[in-house]
Amino acid sequence: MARYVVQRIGVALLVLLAVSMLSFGLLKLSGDLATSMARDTASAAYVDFLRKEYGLDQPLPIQYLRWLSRALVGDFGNSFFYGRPANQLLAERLPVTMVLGVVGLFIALIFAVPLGVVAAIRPGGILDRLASAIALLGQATPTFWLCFVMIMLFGINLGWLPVSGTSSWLNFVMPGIALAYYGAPAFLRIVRSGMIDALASDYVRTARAYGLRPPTVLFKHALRNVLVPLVSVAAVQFGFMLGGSVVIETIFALHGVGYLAWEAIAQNDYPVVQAIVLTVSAIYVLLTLAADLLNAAIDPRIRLE
Amino acid sequence: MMKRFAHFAYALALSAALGSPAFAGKSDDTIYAAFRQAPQSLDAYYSPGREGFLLSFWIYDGLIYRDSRTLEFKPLLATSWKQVDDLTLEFEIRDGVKFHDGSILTADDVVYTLNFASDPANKVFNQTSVNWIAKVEKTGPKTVRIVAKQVAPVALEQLARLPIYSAAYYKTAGREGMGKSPVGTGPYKAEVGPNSTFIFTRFDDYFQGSVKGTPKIRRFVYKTIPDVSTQIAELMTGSLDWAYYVPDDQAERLKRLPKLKVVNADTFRIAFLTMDAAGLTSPDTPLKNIKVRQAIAHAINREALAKNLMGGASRVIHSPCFPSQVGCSEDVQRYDYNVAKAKALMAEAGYPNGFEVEIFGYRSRPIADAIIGDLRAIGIKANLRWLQYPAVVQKRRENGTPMVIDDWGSSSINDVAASLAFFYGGKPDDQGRDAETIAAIDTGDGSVDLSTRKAAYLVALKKIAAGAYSLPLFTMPINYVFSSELEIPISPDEIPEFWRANWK
Amino acid sequence: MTLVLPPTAPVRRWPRLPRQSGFIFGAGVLVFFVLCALLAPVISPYSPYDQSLDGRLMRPVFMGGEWSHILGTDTLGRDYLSRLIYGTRVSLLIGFGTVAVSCLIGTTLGLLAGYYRGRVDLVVGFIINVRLSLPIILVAISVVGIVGNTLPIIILVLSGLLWDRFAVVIRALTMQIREREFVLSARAAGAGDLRIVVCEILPNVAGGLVVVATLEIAHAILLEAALSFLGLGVQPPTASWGQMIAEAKDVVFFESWLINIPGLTLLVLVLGINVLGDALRNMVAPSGRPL
Repeated sequence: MARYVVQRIGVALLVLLAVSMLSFGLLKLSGDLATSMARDTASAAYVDFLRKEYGLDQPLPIQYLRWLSRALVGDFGNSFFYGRPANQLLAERLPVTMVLGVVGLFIALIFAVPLGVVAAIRPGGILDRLASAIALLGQATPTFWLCFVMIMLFGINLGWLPVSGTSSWLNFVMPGIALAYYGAPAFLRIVRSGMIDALASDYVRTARAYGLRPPTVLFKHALRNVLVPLVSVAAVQFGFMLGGSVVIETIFALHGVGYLAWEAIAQNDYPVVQAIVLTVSAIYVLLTLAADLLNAAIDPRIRLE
Repeated sequence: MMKRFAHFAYALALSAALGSPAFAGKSDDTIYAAFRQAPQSLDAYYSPGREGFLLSFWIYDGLIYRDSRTLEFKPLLATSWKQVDDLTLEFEIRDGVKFHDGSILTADDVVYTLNFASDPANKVFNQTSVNWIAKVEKTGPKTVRIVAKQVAPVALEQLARLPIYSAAYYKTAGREGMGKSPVGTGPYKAEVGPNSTFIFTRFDDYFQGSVKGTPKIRRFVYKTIPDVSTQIAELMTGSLDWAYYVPDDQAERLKRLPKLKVVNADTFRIAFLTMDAAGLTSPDTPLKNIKVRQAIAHAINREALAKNLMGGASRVIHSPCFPSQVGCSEDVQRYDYNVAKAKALMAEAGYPNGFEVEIFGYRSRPIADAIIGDLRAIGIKANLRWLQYPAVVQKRRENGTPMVIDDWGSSSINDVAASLAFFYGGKPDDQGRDAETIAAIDTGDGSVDLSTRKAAYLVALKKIAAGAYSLPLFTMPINYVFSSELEIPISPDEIPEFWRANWK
Repeated sequence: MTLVLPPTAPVRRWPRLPRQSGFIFGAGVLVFFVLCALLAPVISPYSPYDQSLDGRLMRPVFMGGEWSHILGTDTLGRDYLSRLIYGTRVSLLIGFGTVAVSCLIGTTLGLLAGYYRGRVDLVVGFIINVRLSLPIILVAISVVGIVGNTLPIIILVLSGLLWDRFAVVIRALTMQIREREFVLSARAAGAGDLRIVVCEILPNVAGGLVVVATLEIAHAILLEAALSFLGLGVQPPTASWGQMIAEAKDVVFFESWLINIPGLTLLVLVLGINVLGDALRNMVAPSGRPL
């Protein structure tokens, strides 16, 4: 177990290192930082001063190491636009995206798990086909179109839900559904196939033979079998949702990191963009690491692989 | 980070327990107003763009106020002023004006603020509003003198938009503190709310006798909603009371809703197309060729754009200034919509098959698309780069923008001195860099004599049009959409004066 | 090292409508749109670029419009049907173009990892992990925002982000196939690695390749639409469906047909491709092999 844990953490760190190099590359690709920093007051002498001050005249590997050593303690430099540290902005905006991600994950799960279970009871039956159709539709619908349809229906026509802002939990319902729509098919698939396997397995058959009531069998014995893959997929999906909420945040005026990233790109504010990419990636890496370790703890077979 | 998150979760839980907040408007004496962008900071001297500019009127007061109805200057924090000599203005500072933190305004605050802002080392963003000031000094317990570096014909215009800070507060709080919890003397106190909202609460100790008048409505909330369609949805559901810059197509349709009122009003804003006539982006850009620029001028159907996409009161302009501005004249060369002529000019210039060029835009996507479509008709393949305003300007100052679909509101100043110098007077945004034009503008800006100024500006305007250094497009009236329960005067200077609003 | 499968990686086949009907529907949809794309200049009633600001926002025929513009006109008075037909070209070009490049990257990596295993597999697995930890939309908009939003760049950026599923699936298939008898006997007969990979393994993973390709085509088309929505899609006045939706969004609450037409078209195409992918999967891997 210890060996597995160390190995897994090592890989995660390497992945983060690689991602940091890519983020740094992104920042360099965005043009001359000294000119960007100088903004309107750009006199050539001032630009040169900034270039020296920030070590932008050094060779790339040295610049990278300097940048990395700062990034490690959470210093991503200043936003050109807001003139404030990028990590401050990130800290302000991340909670909104996190809440959105959690709501999205929650909605996806309460929708997909029961549907996956009933679909698995009779593979090929009506419910199963319905579930399959929903999964296919979910993958084919452009998110923003769904958002507008919801706004029109629940926001304007019925007046049930607020359209923009974060003033109450109701504000997160529509964006949450939109985000869940994007993640639910993956859960649906994994629950369904896991349940089919479990229901066909010896221990469930035994349990049934002993006369346990079907719901008990279903939820207590079979569903447990699905838990391990579900945790993995949930971790992965949550990571994807954090990075995939740009469009949704823009439409529902949720000022989270997705919207911040879009705003920063339109303002050529690449220190912020780079900080966001790196942070979202890091969260993803940590989540998958946690899921792997958790699964290894639940299921010994994994760590022996 | 975790703490912040916990705060946020707590606030959410609380709001869930209390139920959803009351919908907009009259019932909670609050105007919910939508804007596309958040101000960068609540410190008006470090908050570029329209949003920051508006702050100087909501949270702060200037020495004087330009009456939005008559465009005349009236005393505000100063009770009176006089022109001592060509370069010197003297102001009498008002007694008993309170800052939001309870302290009293003194002449020292005025001296401190204006000296701070005009010191280049402090790098306030609106350099042009302050760089004419040589020094500011106290000449009596309540008198302040402002000395200009050279003759400054629009000094009063500028002073009307320079907010006065509390010296004591600004020294301790700094930019950071002022940016988050500002202290001014203005009609509203401001604080930063969640999710890029800003809450403006009536300042109950606002000084009596202010020409702005005392605010009637208790609060207005500045909501940052980037997507126009989301703003529209919120207007339709009634959770927004006020929005501006609503595109004409939508405004036209919102008129049908009884609970909303739509007003199309002219502003000082004009749209124009800048072209890299000086070859700043590359020495061999086709735009250096005057025939190419004239071809472009003939290729764009400005009448149709103004009528169909701007709508309302929009009209085509031939000079890059708002017609009512002092010094503006339409008595210049005109380019009609004529595709055949445009094509012929392209051929004469040596580009019968057109060329490829980058075009930058930030405001109206339909207008950008239409212009690109028109250019395509004469063979010019314009690739659109859609950025936000500050990024476009930055790019232009780095000599990276062959063409920009630009607009300019002259900071709501009714004088061409607030526009021509930037785009044709040799400044970084000048894409023509024509010596004669620059000289003429300098003459106009450097004089206080009206007829000298007008004559000089006319020379410049004629030169700009003849050389097609830029293509003036049209005036940009904007649409205000607001709750029909709300009574809010529309100013010609695009400044939403919420303090003058009232419920019906 | 555990490889994290992308979330939509099929885990077990769905029991479907009779296999052929899914195939027929999916293939039919795809063929229809490919034909539209190829024949665009012939079947479009107008040029997709001709704007007429006096004839803007005309409604489609089924909403009481005129037959001269069957699907009406957009905000600049351009014929909507013509733009839709030409948009097929761009959307399919992005779908197929992206998949062509990403398939090349993913398949190469997958074959290497599955065939050589050991260290090579570790390295490829690492690269896949790095790719998965990069948020697709964020990276795509950042790079496109810097480099510019031209069609080739969009295709390259998307390819650089959508190859992982190819690599994962091909790696797993290759691992199985390399132990099969025909591969072993080819090796015994003295065939080199390259020859074995190209002649023996590649043909046997082609089925899996096609399945992943269909899913990724759909994915790429949707991503382009999202980029367009954020103002970073293909260049105007080029018509792509995403671009059309983005241009229509401002009037969405009044003229919703303007967004519903390209939205529905996009949905039908993506649905068709996905159904086709499912049907192909059922044909290729009837026993639920690790696809």
